[in-house]
Formats: sequence, C-alpha cells, structure tokens
Amino acid sequence: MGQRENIKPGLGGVVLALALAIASTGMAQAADDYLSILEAEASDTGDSASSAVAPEKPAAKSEKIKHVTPGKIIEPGLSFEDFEETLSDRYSGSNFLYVKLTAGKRKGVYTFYQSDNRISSIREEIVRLLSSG
Amino acid sequence: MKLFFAKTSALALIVSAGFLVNTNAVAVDVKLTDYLAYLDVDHGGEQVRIQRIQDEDHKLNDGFAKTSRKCPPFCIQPMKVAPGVITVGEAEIFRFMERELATGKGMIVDARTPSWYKKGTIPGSVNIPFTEFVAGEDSSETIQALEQLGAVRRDQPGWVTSSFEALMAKFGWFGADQKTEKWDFSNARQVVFWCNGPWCGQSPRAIKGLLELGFPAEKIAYYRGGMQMWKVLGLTIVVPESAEAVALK
Repeated sequence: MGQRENIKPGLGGVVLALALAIASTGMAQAADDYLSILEAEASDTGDSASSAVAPEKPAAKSEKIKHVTPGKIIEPGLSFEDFEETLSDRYSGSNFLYVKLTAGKRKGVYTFYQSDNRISSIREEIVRLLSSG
Repeated sequence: MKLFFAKTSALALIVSAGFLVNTNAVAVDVKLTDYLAYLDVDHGGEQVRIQRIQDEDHKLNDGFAKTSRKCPPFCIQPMKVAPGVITVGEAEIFRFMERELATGKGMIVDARTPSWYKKGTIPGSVNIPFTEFVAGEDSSETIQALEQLGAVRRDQPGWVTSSFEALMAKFGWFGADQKTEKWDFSNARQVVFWCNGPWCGQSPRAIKGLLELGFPAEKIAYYRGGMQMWKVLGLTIVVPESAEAVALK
C-alpha cells in the first residue's frame, strides 16, 4: 500500500517532466522553423530592383550585422566558441534553452555536437540535459 | 532710360526668381503629403532624402508585388497589435522623423532578420531583429537591445522598495509604472517598430516580447504598413552594403 502511494506522485512527476520536455522541444523547433521559413521567403523575394534607393555609406566595423543561414545541421569541426555563436545566431529557439544550462552541461552539448551535428538531435540533447536538473 | 532699365532688370530678376521658384514647386509633382515634398533624415551619420518616385507609370516588380503568401506564418496582422500600442501610418512616420527622431527622443526599429534588412530598409531605421526581444530577459542580446532603446538596468531593489513601487505604479505616481525590478524605462525612447508589412509577424513579435519585458506600451508604436506600403508608395529606401552583411561582433 505504502509503495503504491509513493509510486503515484513519482509517476506524476515523471509525466510532468516529460510533458515539459516535449513542450520545450516543440517550442524551440517552432521558433527555428519560423526563422527557416522567413529566410526562405527572403531568398525568394529578391533585391529591391523596383524601389527608389538611396546610397548608404559602408557599415562601420563595429556595426553588428548578423547573417542567418537556415539549415538542418551545424557545420562540423567548430570550436566551442564558434559553436555557441552559431547556436546564438541561427537557432534562437534552441539557444533560448541552451543558455539556461550550467557551464558543465553546455560543454556536454558541445561534446554531443561533435558526434552528432544535426540540429534536431542537438535540440533534444539540450532539452534532455535541461530536464535532468 | 537708366530708370527704365533698372525697372526692367528688376522685373526680369523677379520674374526669373519666380520662374525658378515655380520650377522647383512643379518639379515635385508626387509629394509626400500636402505640405511635405520631401524629408531629409539622418541614417548612420549620412543625410538621406526621403521622397517618392516621380514616375507616375512606375510599378513594383520585385517580391513585394506579390499578393499572397502562405498563412500561417504570413498571416494578416490586426490593426491593434497589443493593448496600449498605437498603430501609425506613413504621415505619422514623417512627423515622427521630423520631431522625435531628429531630436534623439525617438527611434525607428526595423525588426526583421538581417537577410531582410540587407535588401533595403526605411531611412533612419536601426536594425534590431525581433529575435533579440524574445531571447530571454537575461540574454546578452535582449540586454543589449533594451539598452539601445534607452532602458537602464537596475540593481535589484529590496522588498520595501518593490512594494512601494508596486503601489505607486497603480496610480502612475513617481514614474513607478515605468520601472520593473530589473529595468528603468523612464528615459527610454519612443520607438516605432516595423517589418515587411500587414502580412509580417516579425515586428508584432518584437513588440509583444518588449511588452513582456515591461517596456511601457505608450512608448511603442506599430507601423503596420511596413516595407510593403513604403514600397507601394514609391518611398526611398536605403540598401546596406551587401559585402558587410556577415556576422560581425
């Protein structure tokens, strides 16, 4: 009887954690998918050929301009710093969860990336590490 | 005779001046508004003249001539993006440029991702992609974005201060409604957000993210027409140097 009572709250906690993990993965994927669609539409739209264009001076080196490239993988062989920068620049949904990890777990994600550089797998690993507490 | 020539010369001068004045007035057939032929704004330290294409037969032939995109995600946005946030049109943008933007009290934010920004932006705009407002309140991107808007980070106030501010905020006293525990928005700029047009969700996402961070709604405006309407009206855009569109930090 005592064992059955202990199992129920424990089981509830597992179900909740699983639901949160699925929701987090889904949200991160939704954010990444939206960005991918945006970039595809940008490519499709072309340049401003039919507009009145004023010339702009070249951007200063300190100006921060990000170039977002959609993709299902992160380039292999990146350093830890470049890996984090890529995640931040291109996969803001996954990065939103990644930054919540401890420094040690972030290294764990980087180690994982070195064996599997698919963003879907990396995203799942981030969620797994986040859920493990 | 001298008097005759003097009068004649004076008359010729006046007529010439009048002709020149009339020529300038006639040259801009397609004005911005009934009182504004063109508008000069500062864009990255350079003066850019905003005017309309004068060719009355001109038509758009780029991607912004499209009538339809898949919805979702490119759904028609409501006029009211969020409570307390006003929606503006081009005439209001021009007035904003002449006043708040010119004095530094206002900002115009192109909330699109860089791949859209590099195709061309509205003069006077600063590119802060909407992703920077939804990256999490403790992320470096969000912090930097808020500081660009003029928000100031606060030291964590104690519970007495927090309780007092919460009470004052209900009445709008002492600027308490302009602060959160982490941010002071009292001196933040008036900001106009825009993106690709009525079918674009990027600036609405930026606005909603900003509101969730506590930014005062009354300091935000939504230019729903965006690049779509800007181009339909033949207004000047600025195209960033394509060679510079790489990740720089």
